[in-house]
Amino acid sequence: MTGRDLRLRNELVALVVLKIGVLVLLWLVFVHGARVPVDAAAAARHAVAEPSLSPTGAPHGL
Amino acid sequence: MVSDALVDLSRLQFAATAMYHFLFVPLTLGMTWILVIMESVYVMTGKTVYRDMTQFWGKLFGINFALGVTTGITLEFQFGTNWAYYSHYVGDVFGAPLAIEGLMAFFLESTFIGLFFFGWDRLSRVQHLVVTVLMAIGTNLSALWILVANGWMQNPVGAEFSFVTMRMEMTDFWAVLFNHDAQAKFVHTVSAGYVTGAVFVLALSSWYLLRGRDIAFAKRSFRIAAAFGFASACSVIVLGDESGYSVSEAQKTKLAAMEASWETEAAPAGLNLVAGINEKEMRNDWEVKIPWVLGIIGTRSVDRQLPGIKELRVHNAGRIASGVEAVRALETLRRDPADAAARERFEAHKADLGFGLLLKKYVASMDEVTPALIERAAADTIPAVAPMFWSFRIMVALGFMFFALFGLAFWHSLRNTFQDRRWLLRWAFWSLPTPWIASELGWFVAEYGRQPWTIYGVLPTHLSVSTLTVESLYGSIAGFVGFYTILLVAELYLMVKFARQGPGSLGTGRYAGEPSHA
Repeated sequence: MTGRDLRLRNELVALVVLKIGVLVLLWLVFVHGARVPVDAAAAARHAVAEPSLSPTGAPHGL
Repeated sequence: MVSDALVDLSRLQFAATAMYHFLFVPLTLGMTWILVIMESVYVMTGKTVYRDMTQFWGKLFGINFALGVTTGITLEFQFGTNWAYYSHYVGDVFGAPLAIEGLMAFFLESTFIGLFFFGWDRLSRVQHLVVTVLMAIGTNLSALWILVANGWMQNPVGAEFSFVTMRMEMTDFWAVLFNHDAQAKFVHTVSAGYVTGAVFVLALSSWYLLRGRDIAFAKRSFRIAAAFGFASACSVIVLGDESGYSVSEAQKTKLAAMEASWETEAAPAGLNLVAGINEKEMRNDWEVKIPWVLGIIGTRSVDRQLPGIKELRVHNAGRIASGVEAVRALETLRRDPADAAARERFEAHKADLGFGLLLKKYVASMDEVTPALIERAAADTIPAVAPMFWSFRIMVALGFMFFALFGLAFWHSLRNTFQDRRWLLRWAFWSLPTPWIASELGWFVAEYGRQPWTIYGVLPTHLSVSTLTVESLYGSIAGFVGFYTILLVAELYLMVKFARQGPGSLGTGRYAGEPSHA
């Protein structure tokens, strides 16, 4: 492996580590604390309790 | 408030962005492997012209990739913005392949595309070839995961509905991954991409040959495109047949609409080559039929029947009636999850829950359901026949045209006579837009033919959309169409500019139009 190859390898390793680091940081800042509960009640209201269209296609209900 | 306009506009927006996106994708899929072939020859022979070929066609590939790479992201955003209920209902299943695709695209594919362009002077020949191979694999793996997600929309296996969370939950990841529909769609779609890449190289090489410039470069490019294209055209036909068989197993209404099969025929059914479709009276006014062919292709047998549209409507009406029971039981379970009788009733009918939900387009409560409404919802389960029938036929005809074009190009490549066959070169050049037409029609058949479902047999389209305002959709559609049109114009401008310059754009001094070129 030549000196140029070694430099490229080191640069690539540094880039991959940086990518993973940034990703982890983004996850920690924006995603980690966000817990979005699945809103089954909203889905139930939408799917089984209320209509979406009238027989003529006009808005109706909901 | 969900209105017809909201559903139609949401569909239009997704369709428009998906179709724009798929103008870029097939060329990316196909060009990567053509670059692998060209660079492999360079590594094996050491001839500079093959390096120039890899770099020139790679430049056109790069333009296409750079402009296309952003267009798919908006589709993923739309799942959240325009299809929120869809995302809730099936996100547990659909999200996994999309997330893996994102990782593949952003980490594997984009990393190696970067190395492909910037690694020429920093990597050895073999190392750079390995990068090009990994770029091709990454690109194709991205397509695999998208098509696993789409295959599940066509044939939702490996998942079960939970009345507690009101969503489909994955029960078998491997069933989702190895879903026959997904695998058949994947190989058919990537083959179509390979044909697109091959037509692109063949057409531009033919143009150079017709103009008598960069002959050695163009002849070598033509030969590689002809050989790769011939193999790809054979694949796209064989794998398209497999994809069609998959449809006949999992989506009988789609197949019946594609073939304008109104009646159930005795096995094996004949194939309507062309027909005068009369949707109002549910029959063909005239038809040119090839006996047996549809039955053999669709069932791989001579004794299994393929149901016609009329029979499917009756069958689906029965499923809707059963689905009414499922919805009623679900409503009871939502109020009292411990109700054993409702649980038992739900389990007995839950396979038809999606069919019951089709009625929610028309009524608030299952108590309002009438036999006439069930008939109306059953009629909804059949997509419009004429657009399906003709789109499919044009796509298939183009598939056979590619087979003929590449067959002749390959034959004349072997005999080294293609340069004198100007009719062949002209044919190849004017074929340039056809693979995109075929791909778009293929997607139209796949997606329009799945209607009225977003998830076939599970979730109706009208229940999948977000409750947005129609005005906001007009605005976002205008924004997307404007933005994507700018991208398309930029793509065409750059492509035409560099294609006209030809390999001279590399600045090596070896090609036409360069100052140092003799």
